[in-house]
Amino acid sequence: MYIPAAKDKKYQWEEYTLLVPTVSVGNVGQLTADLIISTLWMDRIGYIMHEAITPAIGNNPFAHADATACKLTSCCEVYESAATQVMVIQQRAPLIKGRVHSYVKWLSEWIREKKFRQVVIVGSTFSHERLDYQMEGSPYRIVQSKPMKERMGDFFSEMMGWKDLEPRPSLIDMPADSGDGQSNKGINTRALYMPGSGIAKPLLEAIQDMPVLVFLMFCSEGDNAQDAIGLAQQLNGWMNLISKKEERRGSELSTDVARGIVDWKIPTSWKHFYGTHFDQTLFH
Amino acid sequence: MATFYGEVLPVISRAVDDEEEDDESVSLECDPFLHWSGRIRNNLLHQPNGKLTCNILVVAIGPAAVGFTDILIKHGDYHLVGGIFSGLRDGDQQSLSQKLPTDKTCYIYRSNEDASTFICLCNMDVAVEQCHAWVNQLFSDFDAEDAYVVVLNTLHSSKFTSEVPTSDLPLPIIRGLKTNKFAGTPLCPVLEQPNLVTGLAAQVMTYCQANGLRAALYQCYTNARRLVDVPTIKAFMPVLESTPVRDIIRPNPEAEQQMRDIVALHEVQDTLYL
Repeated sequence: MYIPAAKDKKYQWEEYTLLVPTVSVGNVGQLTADLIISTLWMDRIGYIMHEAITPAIGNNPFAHADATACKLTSCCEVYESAATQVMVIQQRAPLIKGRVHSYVKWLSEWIREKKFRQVVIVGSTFSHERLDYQMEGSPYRIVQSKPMKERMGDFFSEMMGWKDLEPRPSLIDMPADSGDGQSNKGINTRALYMPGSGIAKPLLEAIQDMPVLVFLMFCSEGDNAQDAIGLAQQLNGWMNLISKKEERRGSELSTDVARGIVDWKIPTSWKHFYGTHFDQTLFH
Repeated sequence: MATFYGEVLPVISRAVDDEEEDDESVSLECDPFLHWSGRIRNNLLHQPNGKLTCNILVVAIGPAAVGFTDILIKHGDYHLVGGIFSGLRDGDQQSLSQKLPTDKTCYIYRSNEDASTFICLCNMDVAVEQCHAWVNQLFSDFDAEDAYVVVLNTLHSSKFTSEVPTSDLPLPIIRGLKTNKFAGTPLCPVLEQPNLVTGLAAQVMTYCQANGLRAALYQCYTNARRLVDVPTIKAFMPVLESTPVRDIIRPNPEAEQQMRDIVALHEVQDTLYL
């Protein structure tokens, strides 16, 4: 269930874009969400509690490095930026096996109930599963729902240079013109092959009658911070969340900043990403 | 596909493991259940909202936290009122008659002096799949809107990440977290980033945070075997001066000896180095 942080605050959910990172290869979607939440100084507006979510808590992952106050953060929370009309669901632990479908069902019903303007599902997929022709060029791929395609036309391919995820029909698929009316109902999700992308595909299937964009990146497990920065840059190119000239609250205090097209503020929770330095006493 | 006579294959291909199709059939009916004593069940029937008023709830998870709470908080006048049972493993106890501090039980006690003070001693591993239901069960019969909740938990020091190497840390150490509604600060350093707490303690705190309850977590990191020894139990001492615990404790002159007895009992059960 969704529990709002402030009971009396109301939101015009229909005006917001919802970003849903999935737990996927290298956690790239979640790292991208971290960057966006951190740089935009988004407010936490609610909590998602569901039996499928592994419990996890910690101190505020977006606090300043020297902050000593305690602000409890739980595993799955909703953040909001009124200035950019974006909401983000940030999830910090995997879903419990056997309950993924019930979570996707609840999430899709909640998204539908709130009637978001559009939904962007952000994730990654195994780069070792690429076919030869996918190995060249951009590692980014998109899948659009029909309403999104109708709304945006060729914008993503012409202006952003994003490629549609190449379909990968399996041997058991019916031919496209089988006349069963599937092309009228929605996109052919059976032909979409997104290994390692978590709930991206089932969620897309559940809400494909809304404007949905699935944004994927081919990657492998490793140091995925740069992948997340790249993905965030791409999204920013379309959504214009952060511009260089904009005055951002806390920009003078920011220490960890990734230089590039946009100054992304690296959250303090990214400290010791791959563990701390080894213990010297091991070699005494 | 080709298979031997009588074999029924639920998959399309042996070679490809499609995780999404496995997912739906895996889930077990494994929710824990809360069993109250007869007296409490009767109490609940006579309450106007069908719930027990709870102003103080102490949840101790793990042998060191349970030992500390038993010796220094619960040693006053408390009676057993219920238990939460999971029944997942063969060795799981399903009755309210286990008495040893080393038994894998999860019992709830109520103070004889103040009927709104409860202590939950959880000495068993609650599986991650059960945490959500476990916490919902615990709070379902409590009217805890004005309650203070204190959670005590223990983890191995290898789970603690900091710039200081583990060998230089003065173990055991204690760290705290609190919900927004809890006005004070924990009487120990706040848990630094990027450390996370998972499991039952995390689920209790998440519930409290989302539902606007006042709660504080005291997390002890130790390198004791089986996560229990006398220094680890004593690491929770700052809790005795915290709100609300300082209002409900009474001194226990035999605390030191009882701590040694509990640790000795746990060591006897440890057959790793016979």
